[in-house]
Amino acid sequence: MNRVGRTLSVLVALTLVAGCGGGGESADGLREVTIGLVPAAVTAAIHVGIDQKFFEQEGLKPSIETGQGGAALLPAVASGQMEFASSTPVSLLMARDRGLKVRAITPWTGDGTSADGTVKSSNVVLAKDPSIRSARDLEGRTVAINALRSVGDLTIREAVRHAGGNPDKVTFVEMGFADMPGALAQGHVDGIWTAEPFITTLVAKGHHAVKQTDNSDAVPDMATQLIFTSQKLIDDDPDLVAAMTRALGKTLAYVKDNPDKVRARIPTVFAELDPAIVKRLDLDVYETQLRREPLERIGRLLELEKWIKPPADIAGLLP
Amino acid sequence: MRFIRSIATATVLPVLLVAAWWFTSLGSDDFFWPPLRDILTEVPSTWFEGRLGADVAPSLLRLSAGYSLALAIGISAGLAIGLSAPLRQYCEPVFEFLRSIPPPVLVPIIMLFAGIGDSMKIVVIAFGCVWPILLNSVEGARSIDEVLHDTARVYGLGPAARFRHLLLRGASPHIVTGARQALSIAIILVVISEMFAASNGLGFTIVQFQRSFAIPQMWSGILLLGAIGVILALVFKLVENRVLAWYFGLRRKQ
Repeated sequence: MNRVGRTLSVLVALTLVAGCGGGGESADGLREVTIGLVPAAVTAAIHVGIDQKFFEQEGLKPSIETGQGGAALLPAVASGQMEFASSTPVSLLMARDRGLKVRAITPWTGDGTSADGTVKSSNVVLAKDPSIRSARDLEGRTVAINALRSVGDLTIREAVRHAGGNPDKVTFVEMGFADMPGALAQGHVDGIWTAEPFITTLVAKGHHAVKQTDNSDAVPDMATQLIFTSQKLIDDDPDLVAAMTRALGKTLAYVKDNPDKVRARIPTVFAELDPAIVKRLDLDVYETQLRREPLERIGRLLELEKWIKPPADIAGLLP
Repeated sequence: MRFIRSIATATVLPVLLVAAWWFTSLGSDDFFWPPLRDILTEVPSTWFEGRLGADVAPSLLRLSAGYSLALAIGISAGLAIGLSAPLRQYCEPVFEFLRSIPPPVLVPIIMLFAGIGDSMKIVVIAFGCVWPILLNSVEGARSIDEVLHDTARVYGLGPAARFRHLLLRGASPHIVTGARQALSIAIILVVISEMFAASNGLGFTIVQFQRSFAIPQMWSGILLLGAIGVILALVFKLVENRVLAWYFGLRRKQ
């Protein structure tokens, strides 16, 4: 094929891809919807909700897509290719600041008190060097985070600042969660900002958590992920959004009380994970309430870092 | 006159495409497809106030380092292998295996031994673009007429002169073809390597703009990347015309 023909066919293919997606009706009369989630242990909860028929009861048939991360899922929701997705409040507030009309509908995961009564955080900085004990010791060090200008650097910079250090002296590099353990072992980075299942695996290998680097130290009761949709869908199909909100609400209330059901579904998301690790894994806390204070705190940090123009659009993000 | 006409032919389609983009996007309020006017107004403040040195220069340095490394390895190994039939038979299956591994999947592995700094990025670029140069150099060395080898020997040309005037020169049309393919691969790999563990560079900056929803700035970076590609292709053409002047002349005569 000549070059012009090839270019044209690529253009046609792109147009077709862009035109696809969106909900339809399946054979059993259920409305098909797509939810974009991050490829992490938290995604197991949605499978529990489907098992319990919470979505079916609302006339919904969800299919799950795991994207690269919150920021990658935002364009898909904004353009209508998927109806709902989860993202971090940091990404969502930055998107609203730039004029992208997205709105949270339910909470998803957060830090807080889990079912067994322990207070915990989804993310923490792990280090190998024993001289790195607390946030202040990160000055002059390199820390790997999964994405720059997101929750990781926002909370670590705040932790260092809070400990009396200079956050500008911490170097952040971006790499996938899966690449971080190798980089730490080789000494290319001094600390890695990681999440489950990596925390349990790495602590078992003798790495230690750096004090004061929990999300919760920078933002108490941090909402780590929110489920959101586009303002357009809220305006065009309020019934669908309401049905989804109810189904997700039931799912969240159920998984909060039944962590074992979530644990049982983790192999669906991470087929290759060692069953021994799955058993010990620290599960995320699923939120049933969308709280305003943690979002306002994140908003203030974003303003402080000048990542957004003040004021943070909290009211526009909340349902 | 011919020069003016060739310039006009080369620019008519780009101008038409840009015009089409400008007018179709003029009234766009889609967040991800901003009007071209908005993209272009972002160019000066986005790129000319420090980023040219802070991000574009590191990318170009990595590109030239990786590309030069690939040229050095590709040409020297390629010519040696091309001259020896047994060596060629030993190496070919291995090359076919290695060249079909996409460099992006190797990045995490290269990161383990080359670290997360510039050396990792240069190795990724060199690994990706060495193959067209190497395989074309093999082909170039092989395609030199046996009679020419014998003639050079009979006329008493020393090894150095034979290498320079017979081997390198004779293989150069092939080598240049490989080098041209490698150049576009190198540009792609600069961007890809800067998506891993980077803290500056053009690819890094474009991804950061996309992440922070600075969409017009993101598009301006993509345009800049394309412009760099065009400039590099022009520079390549100039070098090619000089290096292969004898070859083009020969072909015109035939």
